[in-house]
Amino acid sequence: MQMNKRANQTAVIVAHIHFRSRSVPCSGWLLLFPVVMILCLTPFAVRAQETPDKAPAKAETKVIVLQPLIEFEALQANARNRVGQSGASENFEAKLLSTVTETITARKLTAVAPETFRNSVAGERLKQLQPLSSRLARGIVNEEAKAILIDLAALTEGSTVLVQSLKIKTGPGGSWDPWTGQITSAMSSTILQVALISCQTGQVLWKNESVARKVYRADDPKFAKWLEMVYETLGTRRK
Amino acid sequence: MKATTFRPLVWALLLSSLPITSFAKHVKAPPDPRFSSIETITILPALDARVGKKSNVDLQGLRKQVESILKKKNYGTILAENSGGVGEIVEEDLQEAKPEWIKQLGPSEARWVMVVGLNDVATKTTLGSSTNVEVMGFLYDKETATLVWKNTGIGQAGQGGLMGIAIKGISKSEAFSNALRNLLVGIPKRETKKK
Repeated sequence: MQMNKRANQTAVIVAHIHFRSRSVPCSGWLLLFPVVMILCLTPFAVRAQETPDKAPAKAETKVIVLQPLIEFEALQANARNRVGQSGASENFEAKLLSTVTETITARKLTAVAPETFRNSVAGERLKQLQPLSSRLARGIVNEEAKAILIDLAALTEGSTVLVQSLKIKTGPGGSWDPWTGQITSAMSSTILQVALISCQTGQVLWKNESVARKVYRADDPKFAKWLEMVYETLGTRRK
Repeated sequence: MKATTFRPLVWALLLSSLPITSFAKHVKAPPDPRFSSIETITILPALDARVGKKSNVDLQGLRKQVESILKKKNYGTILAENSGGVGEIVEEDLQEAKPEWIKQLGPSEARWVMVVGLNDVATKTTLGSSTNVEVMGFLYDKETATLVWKNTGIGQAGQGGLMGIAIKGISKSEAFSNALRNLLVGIPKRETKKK
């Protein structure tokens, strides 16, 4: 009974449309057509933006997280010096590794530490890749890096490599001259560059970078939030 | 002990130091051998090494300012059209330049090649406006395939109040000038102009 009723209702709606179609002139339909098309296609377009790119091939679900490159620089008027801050460096490294591991796991991928390949040829290749971190984190894969990555693909069943570079620059602070009204703002900044690279092809699958105009502490909740923001799009093809 | 006892001693000390100080003024530091042999510096297109969102910057203008400073220091300069056989340059190439890479930099006939890069530009507008600029520079000798000089320069400029907002552009160019001046401060001025 209910089915019959629904069928009747559908018939009524169809009839109504049919009836209305007679009353709408042809030019009206022409005007309505693009609108209807846009309305039909919009949900797909929105979904296409939200959906991450197709999941990496099964072999590429393993992400080798290289040891992050952490540099501290002191900026002066005519010099830029590398400064060592061993304690702080370890804290930043731990924070970066924990954040990225959490993100990778949340994306249903497997984070692998380079130590897993200790005393193996793959471990040696990873050591060779480490000095190229600064370049790789920018998403620049040169011939040298590509050769190492291709070797790694064979040794690690086609994994991907995640490279991170964090630069903490401490520069002169801000100033104000009450006599002239001249002002300057502080020059300190924190720069993070990250790239996910396929070992098989040497292709950059994803990369992101961000500059914060301040120097964070490793345990600063704002730093954690900033990291989350940088890694938010990991797993989507954003280059 | 009377003060008069010390007087001749003080005078003797003063008199003995005078000729030395005046002599010191006339003594010039020997020319830096790294720069004394330079004839013409070829300046390659400026490198944009900024991270994150990039605002519009006149990189050609930056290179011209470098040229102007070098000319004031009596160096001959040439602005190269491209970077030569090395293709697109990245900061890491400059920092870890290998001899074979240096040899391919810029035009084949050039010997002293300079690359200037823009590391950062940050403009802040609050109660006024201020700009910070960070630049880097590298000078290579292609004949010896060595790095002759490298440096980083920063420039800060700004003006408080509404005036500062109105003259934002002036502050920006001042910051650029300061950064480039600081960058090239270590390059000595030559005595004779080379053409």
